[in-house]
Amino acid sequence: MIIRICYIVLIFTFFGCYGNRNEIASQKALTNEYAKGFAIQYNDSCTKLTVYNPWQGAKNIDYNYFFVDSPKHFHFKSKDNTEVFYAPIKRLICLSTTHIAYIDELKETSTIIGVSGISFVNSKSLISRIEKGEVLDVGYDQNLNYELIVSLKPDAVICYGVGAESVGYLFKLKELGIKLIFIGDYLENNPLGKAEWIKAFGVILKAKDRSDSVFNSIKYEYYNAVKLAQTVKTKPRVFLNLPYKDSWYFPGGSNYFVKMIEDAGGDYLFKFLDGSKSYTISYEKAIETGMNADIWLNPGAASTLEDIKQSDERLLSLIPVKNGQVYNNNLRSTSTGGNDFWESGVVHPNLILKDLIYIFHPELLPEHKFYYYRKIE
Amino acid sequence: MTPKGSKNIGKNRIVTLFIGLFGLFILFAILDLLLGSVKIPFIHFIDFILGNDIKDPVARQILVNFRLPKTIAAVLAGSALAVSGLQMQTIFRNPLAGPYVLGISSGASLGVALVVLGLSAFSIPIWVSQLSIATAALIGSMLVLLLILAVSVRIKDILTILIMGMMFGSAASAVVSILQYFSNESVLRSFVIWTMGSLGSVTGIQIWFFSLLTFLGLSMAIILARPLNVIFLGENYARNLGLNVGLVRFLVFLSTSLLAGATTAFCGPIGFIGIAVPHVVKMLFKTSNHTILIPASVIAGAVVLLICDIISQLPGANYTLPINSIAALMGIPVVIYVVIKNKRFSGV
Repeated sequence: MIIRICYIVLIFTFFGCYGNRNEIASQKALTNEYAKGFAIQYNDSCTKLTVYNPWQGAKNIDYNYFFVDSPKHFHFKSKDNTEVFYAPIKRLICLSTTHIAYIDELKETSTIIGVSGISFVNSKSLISRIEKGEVLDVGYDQNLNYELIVSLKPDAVICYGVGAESVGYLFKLKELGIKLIFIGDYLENNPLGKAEWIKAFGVILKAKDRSDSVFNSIKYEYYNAVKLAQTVKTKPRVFLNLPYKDSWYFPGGSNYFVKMIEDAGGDYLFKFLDGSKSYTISYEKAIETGMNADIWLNPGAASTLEDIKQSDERLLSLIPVKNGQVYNNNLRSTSTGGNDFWESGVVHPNLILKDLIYIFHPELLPEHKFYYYRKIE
Repeated sequence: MTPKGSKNIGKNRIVTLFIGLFGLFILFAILDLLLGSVKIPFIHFIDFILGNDIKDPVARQILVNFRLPKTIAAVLAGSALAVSGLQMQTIFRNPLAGPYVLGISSGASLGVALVVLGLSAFSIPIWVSQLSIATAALIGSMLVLLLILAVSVRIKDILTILIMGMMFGSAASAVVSILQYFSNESVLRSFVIWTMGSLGSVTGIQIWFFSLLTFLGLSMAIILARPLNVIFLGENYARNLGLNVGLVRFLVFLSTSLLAGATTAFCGPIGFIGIAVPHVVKMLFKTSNHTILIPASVIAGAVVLLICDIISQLPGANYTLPINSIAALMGIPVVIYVVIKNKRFSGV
C-alpha cells in the first residue's frame, strides 16, 4: 500500500511530463468502467498509460508509458518502469495474436511489422500484408529472434507476460534497446474488461476517439443481449472442454468465460470451483457431471463428432452428444490452426455472448447466425 | 532333516506366497474398481460383478467404460514392467537395470514427440488421436529395439550393449528436447501430460492391442525362464552347457521391448515399478529360479500398480495425481534399500 502511495506521489511529480506547474494542474484522469489492469491520464502535451501487474502473480509492479507528440516537449529519460514514446508510432511488433485484434479494430494494422506465430493470424488485412512479405515472424516465447527484432527497428514491442519467469526473455529485448509495452488483457476476469483494453491501444496508436466509440458500441450491444437473456426461466446446464488423456481442465467460477455463460442464461456445472484459474478434475467426476449436462461447449479443437471419438470414444455417451447439443468456437479458423475466437473474440464479447444465447435459448434470437460457434455433428 | 524335506518346506513357502499374492491381487483389483472420485453405491457394484445391467447410467458409464479398462491397464502395465525389469536385471547382471535401460521409453517419447510436437512445429494442424500417439510410441520403441538387436548380433560384451542402449536413449531424448524447445504451450502441455503416464485413457480397441502385446511378451518370458536360469550362473558357463547365449539374449530383448514398448505406448513411461518389483519378489521368495520369479513378478507387478492407481485416484476427491509420480514415490524407497543392502554399491 505504501509503495502504491509512493508511486502515486512519483507519478504526480513526474506528470505534466515537463514544463510549467499549470500543466501539472491541468492533468486529467480517465476512469475505466471494467478493466482493472491499466489507467490513462493525460494533459495537453502528453498521455500516460499505466499498466498494473501485467502478469500472473505480479505484485506492485507498474509500468508507466508516456506518449508525447514531440521530443521538444519532453525531457524525461526512460527508466526501469517508465518508457517514453514519441508520436506517431509507426512500427509495432505484436507478440500475441489477440493484440492484433485490438489494432485491427482501430484500422491500424499497417503499423504492424512483426508478429509472433504468423501462421495463427486471422486478421484479413494483416494476412494480405503477410502475403506481400511486409510482416515477419519474430519467433515466440524463449525462441524470440532477437536479431530480427532489433533489425526491424520497432517503435515498440507489444508484449504480455505469463509469469515472472517467462518475462525474462522479454527483458533481454530491453537490454537490446527495444521499448516494451506490456498488455495484461488476459488477466481481466470480465469480458467487457478485456474489450476495454482497446482504450489502451487507442492511446498507443493515437486513436482515442475511435477506441472509445468502438468500446461503447460493444458495451451497448453486450448489455442489450444480457437484458434479453435475463428473461429466461430455465437455464441449461453447461459442460466444457476436452480432456488431455484422463486429465480434464475446468475454469473456476469467476473466469471470464463462465461469466459469459451466466450472462447468456446458462448454468455452468463447475461454478463451485474458486477463482478464475483452471483446475484438473478427475475423469470420473467430469463424466459424472457430463452425464447431467444439457450442453457441451468448446471440446478442444474438435470440428466433428468423429474428432471427439478419435480422442476418446467414451465421450460419445455423454448426454449432450446424444441430444446433439455439442458446440465449438472454431467456426472461424484458418487452415493453419489459428482460431479467431482467441483473436478477435477478445474484442467482441458481444458477438460471443449472442452465439451463446443462440445456443442456450434459440427462441430469443431467431434470426441470429453463428459468428464464432458451430454445431458439432 | 533330509535335503528332500527342506525342499518341501521351500515348496510350501512358495505355494503360500503365491496364494497370498494372488489374494492381494484380487483384493486390490476389487478396491481399484470400487474406489474413485465418484461414490458408486455398492449395489451397482454387485450388479456389475454379477454381470447384471446397472440401472444408474452414470454408474454404468464410470464402472464399465472408465474403471474397468483402467484396472485392466494397471494389471497389464504392472505385470509387463515387473517382468521386463527382472529380465533386464538378469541379462545385464545389474540390480539397477530396469525395463527402460535399452532406451525403449526414450524411443517411444521420440515417436510421441514427433507426432504431438513435431507436426505443430511445422504448422501442420492435425487431430492427434489417442491411437496415433500409441502407434507412434510403439514405432519409436521398436526402432530403438532394432538398433539394439543389430548391435547385440555383432557385439558380444553385454556392458557394451548396455552403454549403447543408454546412448541411443540419450540421443532420442536430445531430439525430444529440441522438439520441446520449438513447441508452443498447448502442445507442450499435451506432451508433458503424456510423459506423466495415464492408465485411464486406454479404451476400446486399445485394450485389446495392449493385452495381445503383453500376453505375447509374457509368454516369451515364461518360455525363456529356464535359459535365463542358466545365464544367471554366468554366460561362459551357459555357453559350456551348449546354450545359444546370443539367441536367448535376442529373444529376451524382443520380449522386454514388447512388454515395455506396449506399456509406454498405451500408458506413457511409468518408472521405478520395473526396477523395484523384481527386488521385492526376490526378497519374498528368496530364490533366483526364474520359473518362480517370472510368474511371481507378473502378480506382484499388477498388485503394486493397482495400489499406485488407487492412491493416484485420491478416492473421494475431485482431483487425481499423475500415476508416474505415485509409482516413483512407491518404487524409490525399495531401490534405495537395495542399493544400501548391496555391499557392492554401498561399500559398507
